[in-house]
Amino acid sequence: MNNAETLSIEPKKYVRGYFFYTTEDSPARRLNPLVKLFIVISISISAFLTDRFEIILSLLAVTVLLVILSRIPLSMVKKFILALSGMATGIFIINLFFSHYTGSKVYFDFWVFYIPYVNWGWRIYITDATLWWASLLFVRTMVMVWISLWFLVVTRDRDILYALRRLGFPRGAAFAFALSLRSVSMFYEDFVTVMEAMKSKGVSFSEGGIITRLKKYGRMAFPMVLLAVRRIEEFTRAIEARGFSIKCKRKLYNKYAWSKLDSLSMLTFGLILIIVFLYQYYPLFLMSFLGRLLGVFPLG
Amino acid sequence: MAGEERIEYPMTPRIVTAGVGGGLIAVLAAFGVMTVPVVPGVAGIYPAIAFIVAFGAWFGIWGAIAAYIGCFIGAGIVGGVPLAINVYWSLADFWEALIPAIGFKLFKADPELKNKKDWAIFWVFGVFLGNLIGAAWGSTTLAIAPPGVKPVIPWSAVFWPTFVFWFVGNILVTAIVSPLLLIGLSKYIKRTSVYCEGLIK
Repeated sequence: MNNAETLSIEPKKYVRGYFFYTTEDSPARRLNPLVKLFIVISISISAFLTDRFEIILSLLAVTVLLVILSRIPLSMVKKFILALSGMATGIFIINLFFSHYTGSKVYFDFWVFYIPYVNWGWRIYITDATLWWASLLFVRTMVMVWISLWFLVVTRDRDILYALRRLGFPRGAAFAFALSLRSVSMFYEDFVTVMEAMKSKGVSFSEGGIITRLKKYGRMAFPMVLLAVRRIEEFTRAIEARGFSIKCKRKLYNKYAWSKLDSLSMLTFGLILIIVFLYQYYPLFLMSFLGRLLGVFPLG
Repeated sequence: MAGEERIEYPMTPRIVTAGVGGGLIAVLAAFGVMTVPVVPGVAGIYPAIAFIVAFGAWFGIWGAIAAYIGCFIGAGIVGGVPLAINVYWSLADFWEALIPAIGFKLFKADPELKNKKDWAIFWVFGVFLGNLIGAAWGSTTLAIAPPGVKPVIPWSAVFWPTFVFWFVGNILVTAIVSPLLLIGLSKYIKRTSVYCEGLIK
């Protein structure tokens, strides 16, 4: 590669969603906000329509593929994914040690403590059903993590306002919800800043008992609340200065055209929802339908 | 306040309180469900609850709406609760703010917790009743799903570990952190335009 070619390479342009950046040419950014919402609802319902591992794992693959096809830079979201994977692992471990499911095989059975007067205690009881349930929760949580991540990356506040208003939500409710999502990234930055400032003054959040730690977090809450109140007053003045009122009727400022990509996405995720439903509740019907379809369009 | 005139804004600061407050609660809720998860959406230690109780006492029903939105985003969306269940499950945090709000406003208690009556209302409505009803609602509704959809947890996991972790963890945080917030910040909040003297206005 010579110098002229090197200079001609333009850096990728990134734009910010609610929390993270994605490439400017991401196809998901061009989707109609209603379609984005439909995709989230479709995956979210599909993951809870079924208990079958193969289906939930397929949904996980679909959501990961969706993130990749949307050209979301994984390097920017890897910390978030790692943190949420940690959460899913935590859910797995807690359910392993604290839930009781009767299964056909018992792997571990041990009373950590028992109070005879109330006939209650903590019993670690791990069966094949416990393992199945904890693993199911883990995979389901991961599906939800990936689809939430996708939505938060490719959606802007005006998209949410548009989608909620088109779905018939009152303007005040839609505005409050969109403002909350927008405030999350601001408060996250404040949270990290305040925490780092306290650490630099010698406060350690990893030392002491649970009550001591909670008190430290309590002190951290002061600047957070003060910032929140200041923001509420500033936002109020700013939006009132722009003539915002709950009572007046307004049209939507932004318009989103319906593209072929929107129709294709609706069709794909609508089909996923229907297939998962049929696979769970009417598997014979689905198989015979697929059999007939393959009969009409033979593969071999 | 003597000698000062408070400018009364109609609805805008209330809506903004619900929106911005929801954002703050969402961050703390996400922090809780990511660091000490129990089941999807439920944290063993939930720092947001300290703010939820204080928001109820300060902002009345608008604090409760902020709690609902914050829970919906921070614990529901981030924590992995499906939207169809999240819509009614997040009411758990709404009750946890509304019950102390009703207690404080109905019995005209001072959020600065100046006397025994204020403390008694804080303990009964903020620490005990709010958390009891919120934990009962939250853990039960996780096991209830719309037709065709699987619940987040089975009925056998409603009491142990979900309810017990939720209730005990919340009581711990509310009892320790909420009084710090109420005593330290109520005087300042009461001077601002966002403070609600009644449940709605």
